[in-house]
Amino acid sequence: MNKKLYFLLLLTLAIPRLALAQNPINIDEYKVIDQSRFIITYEAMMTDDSLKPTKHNYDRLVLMVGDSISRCYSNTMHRYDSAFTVSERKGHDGYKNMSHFVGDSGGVWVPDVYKYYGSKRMTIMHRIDEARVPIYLYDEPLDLMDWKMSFGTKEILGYPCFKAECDFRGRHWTAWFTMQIPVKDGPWKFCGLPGLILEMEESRGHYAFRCIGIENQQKPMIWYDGPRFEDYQRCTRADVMKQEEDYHADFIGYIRMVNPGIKIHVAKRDASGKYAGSEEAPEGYKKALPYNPVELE
Amino acid sequence: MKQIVFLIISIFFSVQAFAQTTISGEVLNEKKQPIFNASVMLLRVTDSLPMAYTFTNEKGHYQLVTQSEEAKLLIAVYGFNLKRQFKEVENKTQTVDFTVQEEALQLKEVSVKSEKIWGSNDTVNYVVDAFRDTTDIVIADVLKKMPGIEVKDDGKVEYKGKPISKFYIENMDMLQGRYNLATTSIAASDVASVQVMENHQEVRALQNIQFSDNVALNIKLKENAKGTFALMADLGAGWADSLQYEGGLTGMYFAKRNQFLGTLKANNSGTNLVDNENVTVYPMASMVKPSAPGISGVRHTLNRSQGVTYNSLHKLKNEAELSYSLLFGGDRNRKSSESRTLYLLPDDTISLAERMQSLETARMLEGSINYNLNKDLDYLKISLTASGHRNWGEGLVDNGELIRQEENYQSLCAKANIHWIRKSRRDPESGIEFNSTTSYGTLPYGLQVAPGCFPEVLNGGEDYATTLQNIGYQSFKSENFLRFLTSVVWKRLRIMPYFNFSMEEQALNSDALCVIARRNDEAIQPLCSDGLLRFARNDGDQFSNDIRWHKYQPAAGAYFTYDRRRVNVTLMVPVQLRYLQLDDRIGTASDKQFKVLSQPSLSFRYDFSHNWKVSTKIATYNNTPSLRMLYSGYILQNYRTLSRYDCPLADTYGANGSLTLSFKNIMKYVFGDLSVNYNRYRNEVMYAQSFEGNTMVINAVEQPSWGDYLSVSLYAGKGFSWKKLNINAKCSCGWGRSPHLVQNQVATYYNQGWNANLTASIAITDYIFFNNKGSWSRFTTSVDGFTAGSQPIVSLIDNANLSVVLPFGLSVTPSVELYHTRSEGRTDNFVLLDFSLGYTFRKVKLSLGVNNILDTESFVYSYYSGIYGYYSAYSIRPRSVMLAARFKVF
Repeated sequence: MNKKLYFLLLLTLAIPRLALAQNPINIDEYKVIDQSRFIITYEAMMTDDSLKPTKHNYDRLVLMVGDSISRCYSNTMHRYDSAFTVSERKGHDGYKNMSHFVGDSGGVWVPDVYKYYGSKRMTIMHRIDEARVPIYLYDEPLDLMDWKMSFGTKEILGYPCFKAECDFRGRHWTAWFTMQIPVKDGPWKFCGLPGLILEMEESRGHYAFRCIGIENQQKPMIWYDGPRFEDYQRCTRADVMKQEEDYHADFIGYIRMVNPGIKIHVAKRDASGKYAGSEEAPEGYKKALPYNPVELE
Repeated sequence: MKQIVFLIISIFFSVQAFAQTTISGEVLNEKKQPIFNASVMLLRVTDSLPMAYTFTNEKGHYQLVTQSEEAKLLIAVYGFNLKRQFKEVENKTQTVDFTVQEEALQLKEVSVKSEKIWGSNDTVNYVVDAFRDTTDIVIADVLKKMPGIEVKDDGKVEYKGKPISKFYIENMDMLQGRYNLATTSIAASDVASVQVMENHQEVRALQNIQFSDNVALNIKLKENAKGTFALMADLGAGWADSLQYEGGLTGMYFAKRNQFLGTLKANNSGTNLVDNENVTVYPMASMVKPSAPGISGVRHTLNRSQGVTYNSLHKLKNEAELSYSLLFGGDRNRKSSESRTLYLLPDDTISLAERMQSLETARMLEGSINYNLNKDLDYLKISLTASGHRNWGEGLVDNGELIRQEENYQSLCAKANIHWIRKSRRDPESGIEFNSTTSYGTLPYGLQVAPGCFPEVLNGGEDYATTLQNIGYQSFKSENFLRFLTSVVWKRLRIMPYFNFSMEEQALNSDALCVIARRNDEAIQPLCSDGLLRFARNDGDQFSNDIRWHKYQPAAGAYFTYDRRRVNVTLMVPVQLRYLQLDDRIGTASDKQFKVLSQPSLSFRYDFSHNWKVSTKIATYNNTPSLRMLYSGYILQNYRTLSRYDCPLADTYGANGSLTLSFKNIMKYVFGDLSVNYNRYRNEVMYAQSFEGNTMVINAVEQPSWGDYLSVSLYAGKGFSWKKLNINAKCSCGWGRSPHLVQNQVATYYNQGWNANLTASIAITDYIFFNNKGSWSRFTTSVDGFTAGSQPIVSLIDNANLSVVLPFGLSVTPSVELYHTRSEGRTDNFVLLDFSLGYTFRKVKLSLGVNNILDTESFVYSYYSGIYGYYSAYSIRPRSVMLAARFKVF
């Protein structure tokens, strides 16, 4: 495993943007937990670095809405998992290079959110980068947002929408929802409005979700319990935030911490800054990644 | 002061208290059951903007509070599967109950603008609807617009300039190579996506064991196109120089476990329904006849053709696929051309001008059955194919003298293949593989040429009436391969020993070359009893063959493979024993040869990244000529060539190497390949070509020689989101050196060729589409040491068509093809102009096509090959009008 990581890290150091969430799961083994009624597709816009507020990355989010459950996941991540599964099925030890799936738009929306309408809670499956750490699971209540109605209307994809606003964990959000789709759901953790949220905008323009597709589709909604199921680790949101903070503050240190004994090679540069092979990262070698999480608090 | 503040606060609160309205109630269904989680929203009556909302609890209760001072309020109740209800109420605290009706919720769909292409390392998925426009009818029309994919005039599909090796429909291979039946039948609107799989190893049990650089294509159908039987009909009638017609029925059924495709077609508009896909034996002689140019058959094939095909596939209980097909075809083809053949001799150039006409009739019948079990640990493929072809032809050549030719032949071919792999249950890395292919072919052939063209050689210098050549040729071939999968694995290095045994038997009986009825001499003895007056020559031995040729080749060796995610190296080291025997029962060429040979090969692939790959292949080879080039008695190859190969068994040794650099960026729709190939060979014999006037005699002589060939080709394809623009470019150049023994001199011929192709398609607006295909090429041939170099042949071709979609289901497509050819100092320019008008009425697609509007008579093309240059003006279909309809019967 160490060798594989060594290889990936070279890549990671070369292009840090691609180092997102390379922690695939095998999707061959799963159980069906509900049947979707609608499938809503959003374009998610992200800003990794708050110092570069005009540099956005994009991913596609798929929201499957069933009778009692909804699931919102990243399309890129799903494709990546599929390729990983196919590759494992073929006997390879897994398809490791996420960058093949990340387009020019370059983003991956990490959290996979399952909302359980009946028990009024949601389970978030969160994967931290390639470091082969467990897949974290944590629960939150559904009524997280304190929505305020504000008078405004807008038509999105032919659906008349109303405006609502909320402050959520350090960011101010504007939502556009439609009563013509009477589902109390939306992208990521957003929910609780009397209609489906078709658009969310963050006030600083760092984050946004825009609906780009609506389908009446019955498809099984699944929960994976494959070989990595035992890797799932229950925790709290605070734990996950702490891990993400540590990872971004010094991801080499973080990988060393979670994979004891690993050898990390980094690109060597000569005086003119040209690439000159690789060398083992010295003890105490640090490398930070820009960090601009969607939840600031 | 405190009192004043208190007063103000209390007034404020009392006002607040006064303005607050609480509306509560319950929401029940028609059966008086409470509705849980229904949305209840309070809206402003004036502009219907929301002021407050809540959801009902388990008991169906709700409560809304508002401070609005509006006189009236609007309450909306709605929810999942509820019919939305509005009530206008007074703005006062009150109870408002609702009884709602349940109603299935169906959303107004908004389709996601899908990404046109997506994929992973070795797979590219093209979303068909992103490339399709209204003028596309069948899937082949859309394939042409996909970056990286090209569809040739003969229907063959190429990906990055490389022909695909497998064509699947829903991952099942029903058509076994005849996939143009599907690409020209399946409606473009029925296909969801097209999947291209690079490095495709079709045998699952060999994945990770044997690297493959094949490319496969899979058609994924839309859900509504699966499991339903569709019958499409085509009907057309028109006029060229005679009545033109085309008609056909195509039935299709694609389901999870069964597939079917059947066609019934007939036309005289240029589509040939006879093919030679599974023919393994070819005539050793032929009429000299017009050779068709490499353009769409509809332009030049003046024929009458009928065909029936039946193809079906069934998935058995054990997931094996059983498929069978039956084909029948008939074709009658009329050709005419004027051609010039230029023999570039060291000290001279012989030019031969011929006006030719031919009429050929072909019939074919073919049946095949395939069983394919493809599992991770087990693989079994059994395929049996049998085909028969019957051909008749007559031709006229005018080269100053009028020559009549007739030919008549039939071929029967049968082929059986068994490929079996079983892997160990305990250790899936190891196993055993057996592959055996056996084929048999027989081909009796007869050619008759009048008047006799070789009086010097055949008739003591006297003129004679007819030359008759009969050839019987039979071939049997069996190749058996046994391999042990992974007997030794060290790290990632795998060593797989194998054994191979191949044998080949060929028999040639060619009849004494006969002369019928000498013009000046009646006193010759009749020889045969079939009614023809046939006359034997005294020195008949020189003109007959009765030869058996045997080749036995046992071999043993090993594959060494090294496979990691990014690197793949395969080295094959064989040791072969080869025994050859030539048994010449008439002539004196009997010979035997026994040799020990080794022909190792090496392939290497490295993926720099998922965008860049480099691969190289080096192989050595050793060939011996087959019986086709070993006969010692003269055979009349055609009216102007007599050949014999009187020489001992000889070898050709060679090596070739290739280096390919591939680039692919799916997200940016960019595809590219740069490849360099080099081949060098050494022959132990040379074939002497000597000319006697216009006729050529080939003799083989022992004289070592060598030649080589270098080619460089570049392929690049790019798709743009902007206006669906798609560009494919392919450039190649080659340099060859080949020795020829001509007129008793060894001369080295230098061939050089350049070729550039550019295709582009664009949707200028949603209603105007433009396609252009341009190509330029330049060939030269020169002979070493002699100044008599030839003129270069330069050709420039450009095909453009514009499709405009008009209202009321109408569309117009004008197209123009420009040809410019320069050879032997003369320039030929011509234009082919077409126009078609399409009209869609309900489900019927009507088209009115006018082809070759300018009534261009012939298609001119020119090329160099080996020691000769060829120029041809081939008669094409005159101006034609065709009205055709295509519709779905059900």
